[in-house]
Amino acid sequence: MRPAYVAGVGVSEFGKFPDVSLSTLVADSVQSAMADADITEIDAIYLGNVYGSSGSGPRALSSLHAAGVPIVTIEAACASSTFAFIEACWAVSSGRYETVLVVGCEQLSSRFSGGIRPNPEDPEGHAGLVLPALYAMAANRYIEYYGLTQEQLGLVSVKNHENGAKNPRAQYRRVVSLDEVLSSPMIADPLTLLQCCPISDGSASAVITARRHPKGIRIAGYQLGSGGLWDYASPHVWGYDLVNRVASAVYRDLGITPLDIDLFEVHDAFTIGEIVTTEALGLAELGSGGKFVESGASRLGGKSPVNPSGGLLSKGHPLGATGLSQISEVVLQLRDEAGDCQVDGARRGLVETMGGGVSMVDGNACGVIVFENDRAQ
Amino acid sequence: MREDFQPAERAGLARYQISRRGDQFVIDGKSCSKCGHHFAIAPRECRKCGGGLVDAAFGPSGEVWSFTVVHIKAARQTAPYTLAYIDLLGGPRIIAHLQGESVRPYVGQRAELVGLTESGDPLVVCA
Repeated sequence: MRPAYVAGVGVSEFGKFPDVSLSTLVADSVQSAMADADITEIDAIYLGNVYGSSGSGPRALSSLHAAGVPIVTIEAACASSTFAFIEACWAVSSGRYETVLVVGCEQLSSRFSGGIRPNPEDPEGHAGLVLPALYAMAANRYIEYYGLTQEQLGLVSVKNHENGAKNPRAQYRRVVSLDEVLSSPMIADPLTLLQCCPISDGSASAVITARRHPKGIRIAGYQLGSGGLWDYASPHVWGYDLVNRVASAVYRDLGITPLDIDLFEVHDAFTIGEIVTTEALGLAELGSGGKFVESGASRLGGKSPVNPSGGLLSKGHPLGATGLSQISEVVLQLRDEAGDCQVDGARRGLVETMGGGVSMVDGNACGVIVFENDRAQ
Repeated sequence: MREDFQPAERAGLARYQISRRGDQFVIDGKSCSKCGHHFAIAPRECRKCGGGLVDAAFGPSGEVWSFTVVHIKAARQTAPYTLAYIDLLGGPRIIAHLQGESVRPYVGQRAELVGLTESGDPLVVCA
């Protein structure tokens, strides 16, 4: 397998744009990524999207000069564009294609207000276990089983909003206090509004090439996985086992540990999600993710910055675009172009995206990717 | 739109089968004849080892694995409502509604399956 590089990245504005078409958001991110890469010819397009219809790929790309190029559309819930990126990377590394465009996109605000409604075909969805409630189950388990505190949960939101306030690409650029977080309206006990990601529309894109590129950030390693059984036989909360399994495989492939990684963009759709994920990634011991965030280790300037971009909580979470947005942030970090969010001297960055919401499986999709620049060599 | 989709009551849909045995309610599920894994909703084959399945009844007693009080609107539900994952003793984990408004149980609290909610979901009370 030959190495593959990210030659360019681009994102549209993230926010609530019910009157803007998906193809417009896609055009914004694609033109930005192609200009960033200074590439005009591509061999294929991989597209991640969740709430699309039949033909969502060609339709999303309909305002661009892309007709005739093979389009592969991938749905893996919140991890859709992370999966699309991984499949595109494999296609380049294996020699199938020389240069590919990867696109993630979502238009949620015209479909949902409040929370995303769960699939009523699952018993959880039928019973009203909306996604914040699914995560709240994990939070209450952690509170009572591991001694996680409400303040530790809230600190994830404080940290990520503090980072997002510095990020011009963030949907919400506002610092929030711990008191504001904890006193915001209750959504699903113990998760308050400011501990839940917003409804977002947006698109993000990247260009992957096998050619050494002036802006090229090396895609060092990646793995994807789907959830195993999650039920009475698992000692862990939903999602932990899947993230841990996928991340461990990446570390093993690369012969590295989490200590060799300088920044992490992880799936913090809800505050408890970041806490569990930092444990599953090996940044904190099982049950100590709350103390980890409280220690400041995951802040910008800390030992292991987590979500220096502001994460999904602040940057927004347009499902199908989220993975590529995370990838874009890590690529900018490794190019020393992350502005006020920059992790000084970053050599290696990790992206983790989790897609969930299927009954009794440990998440339906998780992708983990490690990127590195020349300083890591 | 997809989010407005209402499930048809068609064969094979993932629903708990709850029946009454005397004055008690149980979940009619399956256990694997090979590995012994329990399923509250019968799959076609054991999802853990692929083995064959035999009928099994679980409940009514269990304990709270975790819970949450939901304060936002969801289809067929009136907020606030309390949901819990219940580990049925010697059996599988189920999602259930707790009887009573804004009831806040604790992890490990004993729970008892007492029937179905109006929307057709398992209903439990905590001791």
